[in-house]
Amino acid sequence: MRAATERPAGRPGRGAADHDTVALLAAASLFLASIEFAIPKPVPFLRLGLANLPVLIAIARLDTRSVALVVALKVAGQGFVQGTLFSYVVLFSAAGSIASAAVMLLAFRTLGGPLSLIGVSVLGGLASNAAQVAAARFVAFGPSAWLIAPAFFAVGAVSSALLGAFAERFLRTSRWAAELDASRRRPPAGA
Amino acid sequence: MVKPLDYVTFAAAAALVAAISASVYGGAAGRTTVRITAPSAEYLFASTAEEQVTVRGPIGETVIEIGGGGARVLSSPGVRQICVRAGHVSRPGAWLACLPNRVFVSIESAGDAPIDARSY
Repeated sequence: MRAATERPAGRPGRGAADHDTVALLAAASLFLASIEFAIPKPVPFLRLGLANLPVLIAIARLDTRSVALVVALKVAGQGFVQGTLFSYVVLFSAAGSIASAAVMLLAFRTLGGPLSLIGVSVLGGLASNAAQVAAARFVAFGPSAWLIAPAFFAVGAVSSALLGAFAERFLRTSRWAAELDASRRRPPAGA
Repeated sequence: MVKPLDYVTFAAAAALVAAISASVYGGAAGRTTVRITAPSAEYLFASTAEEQVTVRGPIGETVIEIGGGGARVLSSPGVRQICVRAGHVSRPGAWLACLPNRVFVSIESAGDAPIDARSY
């Protein structure tokens, strides 16, 4: 069985197949954002980050451009589901998602051997939290934004580790992931 | 499933949370100061000090006790005794004003003042 964090065997940018995967992951992100929206939160910014799961999977299986597309659709979808698309809250979502995806991509591509998706996800969670606290500090709430930072980082670290463990297990055991890997190993039609 | 570098990220996350917690919640009490402003002079004390200060104003003397991480006015010549009855203050941003004698006592923080309340 392929290791979950092994690089995709196929060539990056496989046209329609990758577009289908991007659409599926974006839809999954939208669905998970809806689930997350229904979960009670002690304060609005303490989120589990369920919608990051498809991004993690995209990082492990797709090329950089497709990952960026999944992240953009995730931000737009989250904003749409939560009714924050045209408010300043979308700034936090975008800052956290972009920072998280950039760090996770970099970590996965450079340290992917001795680092599983769990570690990748933890680093992404920390990057997301740092970006959101910085946005809160300098754009919206001023110095008092730091008061929530410890709880924010602690919850983010734990939830991102759990998400990473789930993604790692999902990519190892799911039939969908196996079929995706098999399709990426096959040469494109007409090649 | 968990790989060697994962443990490094766990340690880094734990260290980061500890450092941010210490930075946000620790040490703030030690950094607060008591500022006493009177017509004749201005005084600045660490809130950890234990002192009794007498300052002179236009209608007499105001006696301020510094201690317990804050300050309170023991006596002042004002008729209504508002600053005396206000009791002990210790939160950064809190203050006592003995207006008739023009004496003002405030608690200040070296860092950012904490929020009073938050609503969503």
